[in-house]
Amino acid sequence: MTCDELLLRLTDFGDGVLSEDLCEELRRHLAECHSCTDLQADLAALARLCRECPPPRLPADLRLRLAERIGKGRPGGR
Amino acid sequence: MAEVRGEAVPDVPNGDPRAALSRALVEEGDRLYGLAFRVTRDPDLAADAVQDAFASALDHIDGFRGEARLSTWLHRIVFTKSIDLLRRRRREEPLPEQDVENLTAEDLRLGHGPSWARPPDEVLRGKETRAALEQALGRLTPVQRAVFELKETEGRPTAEVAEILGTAEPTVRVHLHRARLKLRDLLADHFRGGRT
Repeated sequence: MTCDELLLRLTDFGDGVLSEDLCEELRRHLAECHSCTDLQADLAALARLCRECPPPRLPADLRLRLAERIGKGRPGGR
Repeated sequence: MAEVRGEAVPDVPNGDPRAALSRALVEEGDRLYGLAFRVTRDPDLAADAVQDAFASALDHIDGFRGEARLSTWLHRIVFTKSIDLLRRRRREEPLPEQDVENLTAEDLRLGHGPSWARPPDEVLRGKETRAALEQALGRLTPVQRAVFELKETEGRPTAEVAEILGTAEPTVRVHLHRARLKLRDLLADHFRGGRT
């Protein structure tokens, strides 16, 4: 497997949709290629960065208005 | 089975639609707002999208049964409302995806960009990095941001993300792949101490 071939399949690999043969080829390539190992490490770091960012919160006033509307069962504008 | 803009309305556990929506507001409210904010990048538009979504849900949920999970269905409505609001206000037209079936030479070029050189955790978790990430996310298309939020941040299964976006699973993977490579490329300078 070449670097380009790995690159095209990396997300499919992470998503578990590749055949076992392709997975094995991909693992072999990663074990031998520093550039592709770095890419995989960067993408893992990116995922960690995103998961650790504090998520935006639904504004309290909007949450209250929505709860009131759901309680009344009447949709409507602001 | 009823439909809202072509989408099946979900089954309501225990047959009480308002109680189910109230519970969804408590349990999913932040995530729904997070999706709207990620797509629109505007707190007011995101609030409007969530409000419109719950209004639409209230309009259509009584007495209906469908096959989608309530959470998935609400995310689908929020995503659609967010895209609608972006288009209506013309702040940001969703960028055309040239080819969502296949990865391209540009995808390959990005994949061979400079490495982050293993940034230490304190740099990865720093405020500057988060600011750089927000800036970089602004360079993605709204659909790429939605996929990135749902898959990478929330860790939802690809099948569910495809259902929320109304697209196919391979298309979700192409969007995710492009979003990851673009963000890696855009953040490379930040981790090497340069501009973002």
